[in-house]
Amino acid sequence: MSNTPLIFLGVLAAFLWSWVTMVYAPYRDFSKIQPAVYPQTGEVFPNKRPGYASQGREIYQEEGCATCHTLQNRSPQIANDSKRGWGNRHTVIQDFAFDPQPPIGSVRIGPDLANIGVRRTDRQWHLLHLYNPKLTVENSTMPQYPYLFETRQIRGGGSTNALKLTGSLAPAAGHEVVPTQRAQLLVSYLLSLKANAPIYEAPPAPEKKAGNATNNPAATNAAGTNAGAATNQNAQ
Amino acid sequence: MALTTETPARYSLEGALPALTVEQSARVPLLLLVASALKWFAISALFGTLAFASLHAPGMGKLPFLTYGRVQPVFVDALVYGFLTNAAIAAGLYLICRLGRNTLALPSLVTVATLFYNIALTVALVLILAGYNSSQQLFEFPKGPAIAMFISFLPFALSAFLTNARRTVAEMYPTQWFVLAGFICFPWLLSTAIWMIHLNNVTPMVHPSVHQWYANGVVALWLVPVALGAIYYFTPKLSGRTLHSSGLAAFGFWTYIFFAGFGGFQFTSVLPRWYPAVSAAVAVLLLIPAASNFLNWQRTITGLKNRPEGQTWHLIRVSSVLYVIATVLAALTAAGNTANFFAFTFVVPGLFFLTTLGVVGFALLATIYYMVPRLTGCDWGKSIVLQRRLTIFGSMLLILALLIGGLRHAGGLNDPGKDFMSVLRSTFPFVGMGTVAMLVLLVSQLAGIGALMRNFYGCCCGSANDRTRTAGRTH
Repeated sequence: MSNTPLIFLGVLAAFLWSWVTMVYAPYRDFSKIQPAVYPQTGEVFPNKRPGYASQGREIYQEEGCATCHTLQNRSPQIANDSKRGWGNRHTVIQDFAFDPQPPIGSVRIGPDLANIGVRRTDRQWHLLHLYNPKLTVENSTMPQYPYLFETRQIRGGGSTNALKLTGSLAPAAGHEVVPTQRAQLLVSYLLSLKANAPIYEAPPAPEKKAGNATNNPAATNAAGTNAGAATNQNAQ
Repeated sequence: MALTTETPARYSLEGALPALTVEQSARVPLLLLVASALKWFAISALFGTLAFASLHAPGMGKLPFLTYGRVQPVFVDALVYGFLTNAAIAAGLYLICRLGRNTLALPSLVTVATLFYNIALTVALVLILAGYNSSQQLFEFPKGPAIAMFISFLPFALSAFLTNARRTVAEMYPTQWFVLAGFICFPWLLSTAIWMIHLNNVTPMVHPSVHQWYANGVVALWLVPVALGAIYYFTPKLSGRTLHSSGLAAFGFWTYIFFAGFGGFQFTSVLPRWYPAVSAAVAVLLLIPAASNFLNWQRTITGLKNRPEGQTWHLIRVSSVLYVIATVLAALTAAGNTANFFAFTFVVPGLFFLTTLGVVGFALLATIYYMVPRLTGCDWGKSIVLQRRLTIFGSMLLILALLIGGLRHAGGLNDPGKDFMSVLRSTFPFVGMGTVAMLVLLVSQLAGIGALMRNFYGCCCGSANDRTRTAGRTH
């Protein structure tokens, strides 16, 4: 086999085959997915994150949170993620419809965060966790992010955002530890992580069906993961 | 049909350039690439040590650029784009020159491109440390350095194709097929990723599929083909035998190239199910080229009475065996319950390092061990033995730590009754092994750089006794 053009064209054809299948086909299909409205609730899915949360995603990426945390809750049919309380339905690609370069992660050195905005709704908890993870989770191995906070002299009555620190972590008298804007943005993003919108192709865990308000099946195929989405009648 | 690197009828050396002339033409750019590769291996090992240490001592990373989230991507990118890519370019160009018996095309351009590529990579890694991190594994760097790396890679591919086009030996050997395939695929992979993720305003839902296709391709369609090419070159050459079958080699080549681009998709539920299904099927189908390639190599050396000695032979043999093991493990963990069991655990990076460090890294180091004395005119002496032994030990320790630790990680994660932190803490002994492995690799690469510098010194300033002049060498 000494025909260089043949080798070149053969390799190119093989490569093109994988490119068409794994890159172009999803590009064609996913581009057609449009947001849809749930008739029962009036909610839109997939929907953009609020501006602060969207900026917080960039900080999540910059700090490399995805090296330890996944944003991929798995289906109750195949894994025990829901039994760990990490979410009632599996994550789908539409959950990242407006998140460029979604940091979905590949290893769980920390818990899955696909539904952290549902599991932990207290902003102060997240801020304390970022400042010193051991304050909120015993034996946590997560790094501390003190550079996302500022220790400053108390002005006036003090900041309402100041961390409630005690003991050895308490700042010097007359001082307070307040989150920087980056910390607030990052927490806004974490609070926006809610992979719980009901969709047809991601049924929730069976045992939680009864009385679960988020379990109403979408009357419309809100967002198919395949070509079916293209026929979405309620596209806006 | 037998094919050989020696003198079969179809592989006539009549009219071919002498090996010494060929090697001298490529001396400067290839040595620069080798020096860059070893330097990046040491840098990668340094950041790898910091990354593993910060897993069991998380408090050490209070400075932004020392946190695990920033150090770990630098460790992996320095390994893949620093050590392995520089070494793959050097090995690929060298093998194409040697087998085609032709001088390297555009050597000055290759030298300049090497400098630019490594500057672009340095900028990319510094930016990741500074927080410009996209969190896409193997594609963390920002748009600017990514484009600079793509542009600076083009001269390497151009040189490889021009060198091959002007070869003085008409017949092409399997090594050349694999290496040229790598040089075709990598620029296309990188340009597609840059276009789809950074430049084109496509829906972000496409990004995970593009990213996973790219990350798999960098290893499976760029690095592994060059490594397989090196194994195809050295197995018959060092054993002094003819290759068992060129037909089998062609079968192994085409089946590998046609299937490899579909692999690597996570067995998770974010993407539509057909992605991991195709990927899992391909992981099994890749057993076919793995079996045919390995059979070809084994049949080539069957009955060999005097096994060759030397650093290159040892590493090539280890690499070829690890190639089969990596393919089998990838197939076993690609689908169904096993894929779900091992998903998101340390088994994932364990398999990644098995392929990158074990299969590719060892094959490329073997090529470096063979190539450098022929380029400088000086033998390594015994100085390189330390590097080889420590590199094998460190790499295998890292891979085993992650694979065995991954088993415990998977067992714990799949038991919802076990507290997450206790599961993680149960893997700490293996994380500790990983830290030791990275320290060993750091020492080994410092030894390698020292050996390379001694080789350069012996080449430039050493006495006649230090030198092994290659004049008159015919192979």
